[in-house]
Amino acid sequence: MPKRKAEQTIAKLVGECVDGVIRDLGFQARKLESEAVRSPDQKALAVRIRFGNDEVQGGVTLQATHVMFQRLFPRDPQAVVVGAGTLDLSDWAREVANLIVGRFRNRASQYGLLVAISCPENVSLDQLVETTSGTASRIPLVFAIAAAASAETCDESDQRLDAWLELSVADGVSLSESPVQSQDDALFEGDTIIF
Amino acid sequence: MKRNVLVIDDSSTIREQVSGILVSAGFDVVEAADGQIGLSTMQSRNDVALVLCDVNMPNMNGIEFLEALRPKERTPAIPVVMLTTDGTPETMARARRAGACAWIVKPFRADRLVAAVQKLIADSGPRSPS
Repeated sequence: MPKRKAEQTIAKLVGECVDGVIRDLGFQARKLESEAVRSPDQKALAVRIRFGNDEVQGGVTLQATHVMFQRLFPRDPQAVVVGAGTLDLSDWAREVANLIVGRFRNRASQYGLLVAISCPENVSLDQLVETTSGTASRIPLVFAIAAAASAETCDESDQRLDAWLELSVADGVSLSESPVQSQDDALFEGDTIIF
Repeated sequence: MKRNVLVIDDSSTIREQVSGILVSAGFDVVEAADGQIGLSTMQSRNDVALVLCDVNMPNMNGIEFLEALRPKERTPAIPVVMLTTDGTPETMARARRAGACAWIVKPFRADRLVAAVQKLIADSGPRSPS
């Protein structure tokens, strides 16, 4: 459990952003509160994206089966149909991570936390096993995922998204427990503005 | 009216999605995987009517692309729309100063994307190749 309030706020926001992106992609997500992150296995596809500023450094790692990432690809009839056979799952997994941490950056700015984000990168199984630095917190964010039309959720391996947040917050950093910036100041998912 | 749209995004998935949407709406699409390639494309072609550009990309990001593009451009400026997960006022302000004319936050709706592209190309008027 994160010890400091800033860490708790960041972890809460990241969790909400994972949930929000999954819902935007047409799925239901249920956070498995007491679940530990699974050990890496051969079926997993993993991607990592980092964020930070001078006082806060963090990273979000996602791990799911290829089947799970393929299911998350949107099939919006209003949008283009991209054949599943042509879908580059590694690229798509990176984009899912980008959507999550991009959303987090927008939400965090409302709490006065301005962060830059890295380009997402795929992570090998060996890299997944590596431990985090001694000062970083590692916070599991595990979700069971089901199709939005179904009330059923389960934790089968291909219906589960394991995420974890690595976080290092400098001493003295504090964040508001609620947004301090007007929602009018930032744009959010799906917003379009012509200057 | 020229109907060529340059789509700059490091994600091939997003490029394919956006390209498919635009082709379905009657546009022709050219793709680039980062700002550097996009800039080269803009320097080698004079038939691009609008640019859709991601912000967070390797090599040259979307803001750097804009800042490099605008001084070299002939007038009138080609509309550049930023298509990004970033909705922070700070990045938007910087992009606007650099010459962005619209902002769309991912994930986006296909109909809104097409409407914005159509409006901006129509508003930019006919442009003859030089």
